[in-house]
Amino acid sequence: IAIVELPQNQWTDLVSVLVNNVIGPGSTEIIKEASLEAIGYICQDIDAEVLASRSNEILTAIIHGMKRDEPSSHVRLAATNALLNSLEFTKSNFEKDAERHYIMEVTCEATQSSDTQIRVAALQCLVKIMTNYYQYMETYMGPALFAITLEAMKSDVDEVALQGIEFWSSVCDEEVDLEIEAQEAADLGRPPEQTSRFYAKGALQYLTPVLMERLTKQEDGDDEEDWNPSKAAGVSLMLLASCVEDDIVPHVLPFVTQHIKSADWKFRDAALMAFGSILEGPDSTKLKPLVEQVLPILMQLMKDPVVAVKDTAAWTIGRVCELIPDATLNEAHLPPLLETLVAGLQAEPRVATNSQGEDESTDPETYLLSKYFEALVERLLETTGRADGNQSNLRSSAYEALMEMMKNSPKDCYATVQKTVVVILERLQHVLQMENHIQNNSDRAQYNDLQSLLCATLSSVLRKVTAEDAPRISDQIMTALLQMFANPRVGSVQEDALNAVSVLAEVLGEQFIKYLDAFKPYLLIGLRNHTEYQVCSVAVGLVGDICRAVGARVLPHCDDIMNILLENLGNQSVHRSVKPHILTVCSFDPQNQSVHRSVKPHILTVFGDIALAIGGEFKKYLDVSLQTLMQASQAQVDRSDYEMVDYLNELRETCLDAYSGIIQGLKGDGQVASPDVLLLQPHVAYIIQFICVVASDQERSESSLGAAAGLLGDLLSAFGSAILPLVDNEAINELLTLGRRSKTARTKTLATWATKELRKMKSAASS
Amino acid sequence: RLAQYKNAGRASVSQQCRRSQLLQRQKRERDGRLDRLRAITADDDEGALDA
Repeated sequence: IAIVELPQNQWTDLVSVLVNNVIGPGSTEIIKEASLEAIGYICQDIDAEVLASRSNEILTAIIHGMKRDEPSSHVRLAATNALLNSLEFTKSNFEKDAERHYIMEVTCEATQSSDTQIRVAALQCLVKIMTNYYQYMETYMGPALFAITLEAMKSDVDEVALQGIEFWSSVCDEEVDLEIEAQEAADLGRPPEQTSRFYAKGALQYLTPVLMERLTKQEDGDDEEDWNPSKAAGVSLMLLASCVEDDIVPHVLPFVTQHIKSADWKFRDAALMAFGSILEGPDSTKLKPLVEQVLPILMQLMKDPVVAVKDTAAWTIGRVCELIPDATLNEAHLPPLLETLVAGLQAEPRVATNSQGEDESTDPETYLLSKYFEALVERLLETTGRADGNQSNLRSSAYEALMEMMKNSPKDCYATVQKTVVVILERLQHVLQMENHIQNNSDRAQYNDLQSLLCATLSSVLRKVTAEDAPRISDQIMTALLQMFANPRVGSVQEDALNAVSVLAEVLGEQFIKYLDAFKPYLLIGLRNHTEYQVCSVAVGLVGDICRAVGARVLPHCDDIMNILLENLGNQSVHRSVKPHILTVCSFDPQNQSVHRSVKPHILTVFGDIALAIGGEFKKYLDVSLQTLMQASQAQVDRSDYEMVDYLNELRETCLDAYSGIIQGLKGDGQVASPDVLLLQPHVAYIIQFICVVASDQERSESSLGAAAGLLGDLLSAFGSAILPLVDNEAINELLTLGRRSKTARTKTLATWATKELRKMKSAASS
Repeated sequence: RLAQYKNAGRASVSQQCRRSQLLQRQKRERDGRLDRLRAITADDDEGALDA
């Protein structure tokens, strides 16, 4: 009831009543406990801002309940849990030295309680305090926090150990973020808002032995979903490596060499885990010789009699391939490694899942894997068909490995690509016939997953098919996909199926037109799928792909499509994320929660795609599109929310691209600009003003800067020297200079091109 | 944290990857189309002007 009423300024005496129940001299143990629990639950669920003004009273009650002289452990536990839930809105208390000292003192004291539940809750508070108030922790780290948490990490009580480890994992998370922030600030030539105190680096020599010791305490018959100190130590070691980089190697390597061949499987496994964990962070060129030395042992451990060891060996090899690929991509290591991994595909699902991490960068003619390619694809296809494929993500991992193989396949493996298309298509057709044999929900879930994977694999393999071969298989593919769309599907399946259509449109180009009439009803259904906004988003993107593929031949379908796009933008139930990709006549409110914001930029962009496809015919949609673009380009967001700032940049970039598409579309691609483009004349001043707004925004993205420069160049080439008075100013000069100095290649190119266009106009005007 | 351990949670990440790959591809296609219409050439680089 409080969660509902307090935000509406009702039940105003509740907090005072609860606080008095805790601190009042006549309160009984049970009243104190119940009141603190109520405070805890309210704090847990309520918007932090609602209680910020009451934080003093609430903290007084909580700290009173947590004090050492409180005789009841029930009261102390309820108070400690309440503290955990109130930490978000006690910022002002943490800013005051005296209050912070007191909160820290009471919390640290509670970590020493003989009651395990209180210890755990107090340690959870420390984890959250470290995350939320890192900048204030220097006073407490040396004298208290370091010793408390290190001791907790060693505890025999798992819950206590987990919090000790989590504390240091959180320190690493914070310090990695601070390092990124420092780098960004240095790039922009300003000081960072917050700085790292390098606690992880300082504590490294004490933390690593404890973490490695914990790695050796794996549980027998451990369930993959269980969380325990051994797993937590593995994650913490990975985070520590990312945080302290090269410094971690000398602390971990002796443990690895000492135990990797241990007779005790737990030590072999721990040594492997430790080695795999430090592969990301330290300089890969320094790690390479070490990895080369360990690689033969890793391959040997893939045949270990203990499945857990095999699993960790496969995972470690996967990490090596991903992070230090040079260590494996040579004639000495690659053949035995592939042999080991292929043998691993026959192993238990958890090992087989980890045996599919091999990856390579694209090479258009041939690559090192070429001579193994066909055999690897065959083994992976076999693995996808294993009866136990539903365990440990095995089937999806095998299909994903297959997708990677296809995506990166060089030309000399094309015959295998052709064969794989046929296999995947046959499988898809076969799966569609299984529809009537599904008996329960578990079968249905597997069936849906399989369809999704097959569509995704089909997309990746189809992308490699040549323009000559594509029309030979496209009828069969489209028939299967239409059959899928004809039956109601879950969102994820529809998404992957629409994605496959998108690839088909791209590879077929204009020839896709023959499917458009049959496919259009399902495209429109996708565009109207407001509840599953990801489906709507993919459908919107697909409109753009179809426009690029069939060009002006999309025209007869444009009214239907535009109507839905505009309807979507005005419809409050459409996820707002879809909307920027459309752009509409309707009120454009990016804060509107009922419309997923990620959809909006997609919609805006598609206006540009349609204009580019149908050229002058876009005139009939011009007013509505420009009005919507104007509204979208004026959107404002909460600048303290980084996500919303990113969103604003995305939205602006899509507006700029949409304007460019419309200008280019109306101008036409002939030698002489079509007079249709002059219809935009009344909007040019506004568009240039918008370009200046983007350019002068300190938080603009590099790509929005590039899009602004591109649009400026489009305006200059369409309207010529007539618009010189509007663009010959400091803001535009600044935009072009910034763009030319950009580290992003496309931004630099567009700014340079726009500068040349501007100079051309200026010299034409002066002569 | 469990999702950070070994390969747990990998499958749920992959659809996200496919979405982002799709968007990147569409962006590349769109940019390419616009740049072709703009007749941007390889010498439109920074050095040419700022030098």
